[in-house]
Amino acid sequence: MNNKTVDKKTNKSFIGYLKKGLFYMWQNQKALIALLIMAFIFAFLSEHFFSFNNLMNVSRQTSISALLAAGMTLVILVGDIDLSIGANAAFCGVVAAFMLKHGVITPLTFIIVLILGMFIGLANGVLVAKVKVPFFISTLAMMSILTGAGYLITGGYPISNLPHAWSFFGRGYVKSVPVPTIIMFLVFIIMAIVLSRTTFGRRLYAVGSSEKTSYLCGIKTTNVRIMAYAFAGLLAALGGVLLSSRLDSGDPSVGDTFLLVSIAAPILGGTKLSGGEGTIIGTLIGAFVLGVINNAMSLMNLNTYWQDVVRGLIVIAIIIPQIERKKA
Amino acid sequence: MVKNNNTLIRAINLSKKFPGVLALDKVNFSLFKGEVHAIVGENGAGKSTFINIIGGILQPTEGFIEFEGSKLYYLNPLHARELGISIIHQESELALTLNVAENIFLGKYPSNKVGIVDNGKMNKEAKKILEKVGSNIETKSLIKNLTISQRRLVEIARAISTDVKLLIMDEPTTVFSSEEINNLFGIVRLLKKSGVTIIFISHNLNEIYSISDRVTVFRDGKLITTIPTKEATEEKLISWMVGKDFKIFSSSRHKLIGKEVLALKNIEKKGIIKDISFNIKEKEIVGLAGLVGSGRSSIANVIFGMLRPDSGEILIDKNEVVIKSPNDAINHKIGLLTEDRKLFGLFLRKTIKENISMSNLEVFSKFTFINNYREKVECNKFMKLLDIKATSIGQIVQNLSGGNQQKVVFARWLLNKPKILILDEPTVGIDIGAKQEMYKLINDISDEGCAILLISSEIEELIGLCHRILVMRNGFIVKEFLNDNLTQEKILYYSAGFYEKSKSNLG
Repeated sequence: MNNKTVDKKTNKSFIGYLKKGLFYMWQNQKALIALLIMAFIFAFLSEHFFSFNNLMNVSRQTSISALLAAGMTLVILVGDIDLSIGANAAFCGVVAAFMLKHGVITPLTFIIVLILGMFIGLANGVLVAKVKVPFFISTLAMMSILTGAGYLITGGYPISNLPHAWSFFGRGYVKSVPVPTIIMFLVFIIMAIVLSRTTFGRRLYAVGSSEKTSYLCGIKTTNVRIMAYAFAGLLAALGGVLLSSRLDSGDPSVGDTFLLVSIAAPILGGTKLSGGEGTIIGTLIGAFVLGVINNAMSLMNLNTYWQDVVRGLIVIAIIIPQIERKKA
Repeated sequence: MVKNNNTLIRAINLSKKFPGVLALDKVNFSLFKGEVHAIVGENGAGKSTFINIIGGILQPTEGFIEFEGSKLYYLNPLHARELGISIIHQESELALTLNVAENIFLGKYPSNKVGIVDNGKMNKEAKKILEKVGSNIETKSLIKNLTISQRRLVEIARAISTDVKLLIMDEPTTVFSSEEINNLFGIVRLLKKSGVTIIFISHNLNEIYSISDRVTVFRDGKLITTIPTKEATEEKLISWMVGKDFKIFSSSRHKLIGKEVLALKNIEKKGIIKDISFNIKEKEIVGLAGLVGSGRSSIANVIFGMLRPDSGEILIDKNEVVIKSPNDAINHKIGLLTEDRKLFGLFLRKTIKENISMSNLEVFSKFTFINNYREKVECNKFMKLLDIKATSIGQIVQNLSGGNQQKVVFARWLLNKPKILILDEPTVGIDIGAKQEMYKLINDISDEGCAILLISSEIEELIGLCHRILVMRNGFIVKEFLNDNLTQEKILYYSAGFYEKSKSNLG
């Protein structure tokens, strides 16, 4: 069986390296290629695209879905999907708005909401890993619970006109860089370190690539899975904070829009749905690809319903080449 | 003797290569119409590979098959079934959530013109076929509610539900009681009478004598001989199966062994293992012999915390311990090299480094942060020590040969500085050269003081490496041998159950 023919000729010329580099990118970073091509096209179509303001705008718009996608990446790495992530973010936003309206101070609200999101994730994790409810059902049910609970709190109307201090998270600037952009990059740097340099990160990949082998290696696979969900919940809550701050309201209905991007971004970035493989940087790039598409559609004044249709089509089109097909 | 036109199948120069292993080596074989042909050989002798080629499941690397005199260039399972070749595999292949009749007619439900399945007809037909195999299983009961031996009967029924010319049974009796075996033999004789040719694979020589016309012996991928069963004595068969030319791998067997490290006392798990007591000392290698399914791996699973025994105790350094999970076992400095290294032993798509360090991340880390440099140094050390052949510790394990993959698993456990190492078929699927390295490695680890439990189907391996050998059969330890003038025949005598029939010594 010759399942691998290695090219023994080492082409040391510059073009050789370039070819090799491009081939590597094509294999592993299709999302990055897509991003570069899109940026190139948009640069021609609109002179504003590469302006500092527009780039900051794109990164701010991308930040929330990027945070949810980062959480989703953890769950996909262990081989599951958390369908409640968008609803979790929306619910946390609602709870934040509710607390702020009832006079709780901003820092305390912030902390409590993050803890709440983490516990929701923890509940998901316990259901999936300990009680062994299939993730598809349990997180779908959690989505329904959270959306319903959100409406119960708001009574059907978004809670708006939040205190001014809260607007810092979603609309504030530090030296003309949007706060959400800063938060997003900080989170991704921390995540990159956690995934590549800590024992938890290693075990996460291990459980995703073979739960049986992990168990035999003495890894507490149940705990690792629960922690993945809990972290995802924490990031969802952070996304919810930014969201409610940017919209200046707690609205239980805004979760839906984020579900698709939060799953699509990691996969676009090279994370395998089967678990165990993927990088957080890939997810960031994936989120930006989708962010740029959104930005372009807004610049073109496309009707929002059409935007949904186009977004769905584009996600399918971009993801097809990522799928590894089993050879018969 | 029978003439050529009576030959159903001929295999000509059949070879099958798997990466690193020659599973079949230039096999020439012919099968007469209407005979019951037994195939015997140890685990890994090439029996299953051979029948899988006949059934079209595997393609030969070299050579070809002739069916009723015409050469078959490319055989796939569908084609084989059309020719009338049916295989009943060792592992059950039934759809658990469907009922008996549906399983018998799977893929060929009787239906009307519109495509609606005629359930009444299907159940009636199924009942008829089941009667043929002497079974009155309710055709509407779900497979998952049947016993293992009932399932086997359904499989036989399915195999004969089509126009079958050749029925291949791969160790069909392992799950049967003696009464059920007699029933099965009745079916085999019935089928033979109706003109079906049968290949019957078994470990149990007694069965072969009572059912087969001719017998073929496989060893190490080679067809050793084919003779009429009447002319094959037990001694001959056994010596063909194990081969004369076995060699001792080590001379360090007679080294001094130390104090007791591990002891099992009266361990019992209902339906699996019974009354298991033995101990292993420092620097000692204890072998576990026995057929597949005799309970060898279950003992490994008990020690490693994957199977909780109903009763009995485990002692480490004379203190009773409770091992609830592999994590507990690892904390007690126990390591387990599993039989199926691809499924349970390795993270196939991860690097050598990640595979080695996975059960010992704490060694390189402070406050959960992994020290990449120390990890690299340590993994490189083991790569050199075990002579793992790869470009770097960053190579993906999937692309390594079987022997090198196994070394990676070894390295993982050695990193934990184990006191007790359980090796379950450590050389399965590994070529000869790498096997020798493996043997040296096992000896070296033992010399360092590690207590080793070696489970192997290769008896020569056990004789070559172990100080003591325990023979298992049907969940019991039936015999303990000190490795002194021990022959393979003696072990096989117990593991295959001859002692049950007669108490005379073969030695």
